[in-house]
Amino acid sequence: MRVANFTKAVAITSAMIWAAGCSTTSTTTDGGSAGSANGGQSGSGASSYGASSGGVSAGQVVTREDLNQLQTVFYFDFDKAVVRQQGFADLEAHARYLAQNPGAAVRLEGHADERGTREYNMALGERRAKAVERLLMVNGAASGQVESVSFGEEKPAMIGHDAASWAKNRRVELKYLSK
Amino acid sequence: MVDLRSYILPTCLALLIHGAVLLLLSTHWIDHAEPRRNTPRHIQAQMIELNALAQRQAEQEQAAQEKARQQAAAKERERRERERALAEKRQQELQRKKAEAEAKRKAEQAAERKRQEALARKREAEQKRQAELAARKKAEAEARKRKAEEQARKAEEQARREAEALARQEAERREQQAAAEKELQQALERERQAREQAQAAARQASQAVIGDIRGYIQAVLQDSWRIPSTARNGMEAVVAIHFLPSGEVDQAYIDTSSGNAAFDNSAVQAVYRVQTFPRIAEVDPILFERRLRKLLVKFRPEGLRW
Amino acid sequence: MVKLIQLWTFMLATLFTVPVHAELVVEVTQGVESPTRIAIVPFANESALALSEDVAQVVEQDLGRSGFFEPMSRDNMLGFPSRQQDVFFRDWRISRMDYVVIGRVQATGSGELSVTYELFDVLRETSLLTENVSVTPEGLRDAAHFISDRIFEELTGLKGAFSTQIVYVTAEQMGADRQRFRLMLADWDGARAQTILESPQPILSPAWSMDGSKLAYVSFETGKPSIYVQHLATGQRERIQSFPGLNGAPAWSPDGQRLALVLSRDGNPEIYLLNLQTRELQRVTRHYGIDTEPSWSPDGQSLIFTSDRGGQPQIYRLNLATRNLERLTFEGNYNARGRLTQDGRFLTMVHRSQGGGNGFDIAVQDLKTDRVDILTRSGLAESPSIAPNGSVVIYATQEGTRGVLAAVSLDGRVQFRMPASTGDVREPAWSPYLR
Repeated sequence: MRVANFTKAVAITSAMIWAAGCSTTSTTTDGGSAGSANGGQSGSGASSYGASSGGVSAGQVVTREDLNQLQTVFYFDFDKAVVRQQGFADLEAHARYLAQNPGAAVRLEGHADERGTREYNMALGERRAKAVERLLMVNGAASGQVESVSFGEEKPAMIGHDAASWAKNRRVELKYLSK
Repeated sequence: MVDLRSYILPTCLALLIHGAVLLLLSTHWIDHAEPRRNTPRHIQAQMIELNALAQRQAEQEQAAQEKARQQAAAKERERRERERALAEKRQQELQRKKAEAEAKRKAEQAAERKRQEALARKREAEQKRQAELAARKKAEAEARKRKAEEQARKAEEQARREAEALARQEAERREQQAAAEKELQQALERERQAREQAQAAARQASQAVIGDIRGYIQAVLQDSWRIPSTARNGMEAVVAIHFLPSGEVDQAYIDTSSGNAAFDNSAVQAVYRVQTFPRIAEVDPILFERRLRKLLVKFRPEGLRW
Repeated sequence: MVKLIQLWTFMLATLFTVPVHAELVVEVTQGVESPTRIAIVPFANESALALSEDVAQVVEQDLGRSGFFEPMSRDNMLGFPSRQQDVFFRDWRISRMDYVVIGRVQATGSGELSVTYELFDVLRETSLLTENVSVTPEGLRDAAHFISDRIFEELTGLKGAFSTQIVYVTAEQMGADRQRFRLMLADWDGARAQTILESPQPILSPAWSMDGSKLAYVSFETGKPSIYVQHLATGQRERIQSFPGLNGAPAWSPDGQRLALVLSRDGNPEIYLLNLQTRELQRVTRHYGIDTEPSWSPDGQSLIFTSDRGGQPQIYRLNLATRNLERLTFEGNYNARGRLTQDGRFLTMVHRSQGGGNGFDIAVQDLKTDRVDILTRSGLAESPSIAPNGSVVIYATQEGTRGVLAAVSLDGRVQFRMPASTGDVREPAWSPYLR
């Protein structure tokens, strides 16, 4: 039993070491891959990522009216802080708007669903907000224009205890403090 | 020398104390050295093994005793018979002798009467034959004397013969008695051996009884022991229990602590919760004294979560 | 003289021929794993006053909820003695009780009440404890908890934690987009609850200082999370240095000198130590993953915390002096918010088992054997907080759609719900021993 535990510990520890060794790059891919993908996208002007709403194409000037058509809530998988691809185009548009309007500022509010512990979810919300923040910065927003705050599981969008509610609560809300 | 003398008093005291202790111990031992089994044990269903053993043991010992007693009684009866026969014979002899003496006395009286008559007749004829009479008288007296002497001699001879017979008989009787005693000794020896065998069997049987009781006490205490939440695998408390012969718990206390108050307490409480162990009351009293009056119970939980 | 010698010889011979048997040892390895039976007889009221509390009932609840005792129902009692001469041990034995507690409340001349109680051992038919407690009529509940503590300690050898308190957070929905958060303080059993902070913004992670005089917590009252320290006696509060991003999960060091907390000021949630005197900040974790929920080992030598550095949240222990890091949990795919018992042996945590779906439960891990036991089956349990004597874990869970507080004995034998409170209840934190 003890030997088994020890073996297990060794196995997991070595797995962790291995994971740590290569996941430094893998995190960069988390936010970074999205960033580089977007970078490529802005360069080529390709819209292969099919914007979910609006129709604001890459490279164009984003107007204040355009903002109303952009997605402002971005959803996440359980215990994940990776922005889904369908949000990339709209986030890029927000970033361009911020780049074109230095006086504008946004606040990114990270949230988690109720499952798991509160402080862990607070950190998770923080990570989600930061992931979105990185995307905005990579696409041209200045650091002074974006602030992140996590509310963890404290402010659910839907008060329910089912998978549908949880899916709606694992989110980052992008709010313009000034436009 | 002076030093040695100073040891006398302490030595005496020590010996005295030892003596007292030994005396107490020895009486204890002697008291119980001879098993008394007067009544057969009451048999109860759940005690089949235990009672059957005790019963068998008691029966064996009783049988051995009974046999020895019967043998001894037979010897005794024989001896008494012989003695009575001897006494009767002696009595007959005495009566016979008495009758003989009587007959002799009667004969003497008759002879005297005859002699007086003859004298009266002869006194009338005295003048006639003075010298003749005197001589005849003298001869008659001498003859009488001789006869009496002869008779006394014969009686003496008879008595001597009788005494010799008696002595012979007495010796015979002694011999017989010695033989009887020897036989009695042998019977006793046989009895002793039988008892030793019975005791060995009893020892084995009591071993079995102890094992049985041990399992019984364990089972009862496992039902009674409420393991507290603070108990952990590996904890160990030893409780000493003093029983009364009735099976009642006289007292229970921690002999070796586990270091955990609640655990120790639960172990002692387990004993007090049972209060009486009825099957202990059915155990042979000597066995109880020797093995069960005080016993130790080790409480050591296994298979707890922690 | 010769005879005397013969006698001695005989005695010595006797001594050595007496059969010597080793004392018979019976070994008992199994038993009934069940709580101790105790009867708390209703205390006689001899004060001529209407009493605000049923002292015996409070004691009964205290002991029953500890998991160590199984109090007798009053309906089954054959009598209600309040004095020793009226206690018939045979009756209590027949009722299968191991212990019985009697008591009475009397008025003293000075307007105070005097509560006298006596604890008896039914099986040994002895009195174990008798005492007299003087309180104001409002303090009857304190007297009851005190009596519970004394009985608990007498019978288990553990210090009772019935005079301790808890803090917790409630949230009420006040309208479509308005909420009211309250930080509450109550007796360990949830009674005598009082609000110590109210805010329209979230309050979370209340933590007791080791002396029980202060609380640290996170409040969003400025729109962003900040850590506050509040003195319980005065209500006076202070916002400690606030950084951009996360400011969360405060935990007092056992010596009260430092606060472990989580900041994301360097870009990622990491654990820091804040020296409360010098305000000096020291970063202790360095990893791109989430590191949060620090908690001190009782000796103050190491921190345990939650980290997802292995791909999913698991609990780690970091020795502060040697920097040695050790993963503690391996069972289940989600283990978080670890808390150690005061003896350092047991780790309680929020646990989700492998393939356990969405169920989050409170689990306890024996760090000596690494055995893990799941104490709840509620599905959405969180925030376990251990009584200072390690007997009971209080936690938050869902009942219907509402958050409630519940408690479970560390051995999982006894669970109970805390009294209902308005709103959603969460984030309980058990105080250290007070007084």
